[in-house]
Amino acid sequence: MSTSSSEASGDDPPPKPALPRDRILINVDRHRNSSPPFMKMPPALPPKMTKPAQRTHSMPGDYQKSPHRKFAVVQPISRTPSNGAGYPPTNVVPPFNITPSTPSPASTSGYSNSVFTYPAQGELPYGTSPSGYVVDLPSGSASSVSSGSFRHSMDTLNFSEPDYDLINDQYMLEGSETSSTDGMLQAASPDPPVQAYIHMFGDYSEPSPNFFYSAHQGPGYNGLEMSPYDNLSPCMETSPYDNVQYNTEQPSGSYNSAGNIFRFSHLTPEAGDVPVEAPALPPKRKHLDKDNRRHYTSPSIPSPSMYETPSRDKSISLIEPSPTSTSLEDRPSTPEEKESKGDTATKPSTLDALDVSDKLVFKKEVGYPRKYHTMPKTKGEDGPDLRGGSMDVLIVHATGADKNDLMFYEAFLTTYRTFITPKSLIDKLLYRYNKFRHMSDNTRKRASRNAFFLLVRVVDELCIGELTEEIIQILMDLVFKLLCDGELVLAKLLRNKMLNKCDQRKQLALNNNFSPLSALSVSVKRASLFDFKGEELAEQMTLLDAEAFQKIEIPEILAWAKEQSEELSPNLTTFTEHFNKMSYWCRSCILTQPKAQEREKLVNRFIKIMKHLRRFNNFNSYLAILSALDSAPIRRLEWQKQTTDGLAEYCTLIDSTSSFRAYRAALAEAEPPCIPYLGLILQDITFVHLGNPDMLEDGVINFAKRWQQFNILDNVRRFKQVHYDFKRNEKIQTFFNNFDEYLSEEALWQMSLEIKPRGVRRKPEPKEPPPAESSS
Amino acid sequence: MSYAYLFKYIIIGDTGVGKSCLLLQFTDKRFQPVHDLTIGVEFGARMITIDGKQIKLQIWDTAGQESFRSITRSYYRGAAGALLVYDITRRDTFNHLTTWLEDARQHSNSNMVIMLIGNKSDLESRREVKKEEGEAFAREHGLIFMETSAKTAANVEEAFINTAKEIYEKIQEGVFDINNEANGIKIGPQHSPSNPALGGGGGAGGSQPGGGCC
Repeated sequence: MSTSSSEASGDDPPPKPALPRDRILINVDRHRNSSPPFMKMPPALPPKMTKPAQRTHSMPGDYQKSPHRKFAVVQPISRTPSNGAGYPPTNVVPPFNITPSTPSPASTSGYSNSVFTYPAQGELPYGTSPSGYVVDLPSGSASSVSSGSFRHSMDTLNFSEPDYDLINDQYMLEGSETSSTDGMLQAASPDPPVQAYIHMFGDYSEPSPNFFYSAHQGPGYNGLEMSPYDNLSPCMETSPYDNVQYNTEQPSGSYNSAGNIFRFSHLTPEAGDVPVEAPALPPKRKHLDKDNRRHYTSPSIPSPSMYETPSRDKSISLIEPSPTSTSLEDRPSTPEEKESKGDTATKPSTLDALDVSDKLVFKKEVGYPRKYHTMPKTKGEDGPDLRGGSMDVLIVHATGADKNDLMFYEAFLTTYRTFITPKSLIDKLLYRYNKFRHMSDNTRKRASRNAFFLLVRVVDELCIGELTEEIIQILMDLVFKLLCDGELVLAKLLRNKMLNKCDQRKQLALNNNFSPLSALSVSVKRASLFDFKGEELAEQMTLLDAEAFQKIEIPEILAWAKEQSEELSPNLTTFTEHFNKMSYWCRSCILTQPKAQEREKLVNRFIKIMKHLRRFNNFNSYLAILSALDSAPIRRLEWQKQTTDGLAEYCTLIDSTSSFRAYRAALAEAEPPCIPYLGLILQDITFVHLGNPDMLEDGVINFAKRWQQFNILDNVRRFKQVHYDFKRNEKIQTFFNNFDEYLSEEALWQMSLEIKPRGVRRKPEPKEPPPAESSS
Repeated sequence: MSYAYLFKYIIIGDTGVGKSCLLLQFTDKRFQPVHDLTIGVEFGARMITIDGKQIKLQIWDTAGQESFRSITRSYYRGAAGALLVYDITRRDTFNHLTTWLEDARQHSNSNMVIMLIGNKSDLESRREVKKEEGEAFAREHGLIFMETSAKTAANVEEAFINTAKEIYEKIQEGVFDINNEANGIKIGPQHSPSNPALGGGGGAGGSQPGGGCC
């Protein structure tokens, strides 16, 4: 492998031993005998000289101005591009391996070991042996591939030539990878395939900026309009990508005659492609069978609906269940679903509709030009006008909403989990993408593209826990399909999002096993609260809070309202525990002081810390400490008047009158960075969930409820976006020791009683307080 | 609307026993949407009449934030009444009553009226806790007892109203210090001309450390 490739491309194989054992290596290949599919791209690259010339046409700004322009240079590639480009055909081959007569230089130089890496999670996604992580295919498999497929893949690649431009520009737009990859491409290189490959896919380990998140500031989401997706979109409508599909019509049906080149037939849905049976799968993959089948049986092009195959009745629900169903979970497939197979002309499903606006339910008062269904406006209802719609109507509306109705787009993305699982949504979007992608008119192509972009966004916002092997597999398949279709930009976009996710998951796994042992933690002298400034202590508390707060994923909060489960909301649970621990730690600090004077000093110290916490808008720690100072065991003790007066002042913030009006007002005014008190957010989201029906009267999804959920959650997201820039102080952090040292409530109560026995004013309790015990 | 007294209630018990549903059933059966985040979700208030007097019940439900146990305890304080709820179809929720009761007694006003509620009485076929067991527990700990169904509304009104009656009687007996808001009782605006302590109006009981209980 060339040095440059290992530096620049995360896809290039790190030497196996260097990989953490919790990763699995899926190569690029499950087609290990052949070069990875990506490797063929490079040969298709015309002589490098053409590159700069093309690029002059395709600066990012050009996209919107002249969508067609950049493709003007694209020639409908010759059928024998590899020869034309001066690379031996053997280089080009690949995935469907055709044991090349001459060994490919690429494969001997290590490409064939290229791996995608991502963390294992129990089950390996692809056909893997239990003993090894690298997927091996029987080496005999390759020979069965026809030259037709070979040729096809070359054609595809060749057609995709202009994509380099697109990708370059994509890089430039993303601003992260341009310099390294671009420079490399232009430099004379002994190994053009590698470079082009790197160029194409970049270094996935270097996350590209997340447009949507960064754009998602404030209610307007105007930033979205500047996303590269939009810039690219106009090009795609008229891009030669689509031509690729139509021009490559060689039969390629014999890929898997030996059953070994599994999972690839769907990548090349050309005319003449013979639907084939799924190859035998390892037992572990059995549960995925259904989906695989769907892919294997992809019909010929230009069929607009590759999913509508004879095996469709076995496939997952893609169509809206009957609207009368009120249960949001476990919707069974309806007859309607099955009927729709293969015959969209006579029985169009909502997912196949281009415009669903007449199926949306709006508020009555709004004077929409068309005959929208309207519902009587309920008392006190406010906010956006869209009140509901069936699941598929909402999905279709969302696919087109990124430009027209950003609020809905965001609200949909934030709340869709309340009515559809991420997996099902991905399936439906995929269905819609495939449905229209080969259509010739722009409206349909746009519909396809919009579905794809929503899909990318959905993937981008998946929680780590939601990234199941099943979803990874679906997405991997899609990436491969996009590649083979020449949709390189889309492929890269999706793939980068996925790999970022996988990386996050990997990081998480690593972090969980990593507990740093600070040298300070073994120091002999115990620090005390008085060794540090109140402001410093508040800063360090805030850092701890912020860290835990950042980890909370928005869907965890949404799930909480329905089911308070540690499994569904792990980071939320951690955050809550942190809050409680901090409060008990604070109580313990005070009550373990034997002298009244010392206790008084400590209380005042904490009040001072609260003052700083308030200044930092850290309402979380503020309330944790307040709940400690205001807790019964501490409050019942004798304090100086100025202490109690001081405390009373701080208590007004969390006065529960009028549903915490004081606190809510303070929060509304707070400038981020800010850490809100999450308990109230959870309460609000719970009440919204409990107090509003999931469905409207006529059986459609009550989106008004989702608006409310979105309002609450979006506020959380707003706070998550801004970070504190305090420096970590190890001494103080060691002193806090993550607030792990605290006494149990019973023990605290006991200590309080020892300090001040029950007074005469209080009636004797029937029960003795439980024995004290330490929890740490 | 004017009222003679305002009583603050809390609802406690394990998650899933139907606390919020009881509240929903008793109040307006629908939560107000949150369109203004500075207002939040207003919920849980209803007017009732006892002895010819208008009494406003303000019921605090900590649904959603139970896990912030260090803070939800402070809600106990400042409540005149508590509904301690278990689910008759889940034995464990009954078994946890002792813990809840200890908690409530420890953190609340000692005069707080506690009503024990066995909820989901409509699910007779799945009953795990006999009515007699509930009664026995209530007797032992000096609570009022009732089985309710938030679903069918059976006994829901009665549960809230009987608790209010008990509080009202205690006021008549002079057990409650109605001038101390920390007790969860507030005299209506026009009913307290001679009550300077209530002049400020706003603050809830929670803001008066050192006062009132324990």
